[in-house]
Amino acid sequence: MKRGDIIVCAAVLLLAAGIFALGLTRADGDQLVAVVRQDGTEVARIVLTGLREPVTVTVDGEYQNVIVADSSGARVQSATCPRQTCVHTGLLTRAGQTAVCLENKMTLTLEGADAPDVVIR
Amino acid sequence: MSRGVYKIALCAVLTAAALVLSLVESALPLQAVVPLPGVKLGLSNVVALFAVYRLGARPALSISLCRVVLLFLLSGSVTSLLMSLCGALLSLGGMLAARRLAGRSLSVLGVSVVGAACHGAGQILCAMFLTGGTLVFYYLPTLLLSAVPCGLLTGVCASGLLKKL
Repeated sequence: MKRGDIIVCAAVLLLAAGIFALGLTRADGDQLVAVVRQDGTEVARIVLTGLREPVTVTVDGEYQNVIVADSSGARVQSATCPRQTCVHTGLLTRAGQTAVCLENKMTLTLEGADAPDVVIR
Repeated sequence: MSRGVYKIALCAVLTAAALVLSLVESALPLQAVVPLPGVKLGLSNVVALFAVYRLGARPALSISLCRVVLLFLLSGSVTSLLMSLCGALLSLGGMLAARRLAGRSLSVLGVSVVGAACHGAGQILCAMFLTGGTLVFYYLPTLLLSAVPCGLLTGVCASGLLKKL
């Protein structure tokens, strides 16, 4: 092992930490919103904060994802895709978390929509 | 045996070895231990490293491409073909560049880590293209984090192989 090897490892870890920090900074906000996108276009937007009853969204495409959201978070409850990666991701509870179904080109992500600080009338 | 035929035969043997390593890896229950999609050992990187050091850029590229296509025929969907293609190409490019630019200060281990990190980056790029958004970009730290131990492991294997063969 040479010194350059250690530098490479350190650089990769630093890069990982940097991107992780970048992900944290954009995940702030008061309101938790679940956003469902397919092929890059938004198909559903559910405000989770204060949600009374669970909401179910079905995303159809080559396969089908069934998304269930309630006030605690959102998850892909079931899917017909072969890999089931999106289902195994489990419940998303924090802004910035994402479940992805590549087969159906679907992403479910939690975003922190910035609620206004003050409303002046 | 003429040199050309020898080289073709060697590339074929290495392609077969890489393919078997990929298949063995997909049979390993690593996902049960680390339940993160996309995190894997990258055993076929051992062959890629060997090809980069012993045969050069073009044979290494053809071995990687053949492996990806054959793996697709054996096990994959179109999605995983695109993912592994992007990963393999970026990984190979990264390793070749790292060896050419910093070959004197890097050992096989460092080059291997570069390859593993680039593999993760390639997969994220492909996933960003497939989902049409930048969201999956924030999954890159997970892959980079796993690239260091996995890259070191395959690097150790490859340096042992390069010494013996």
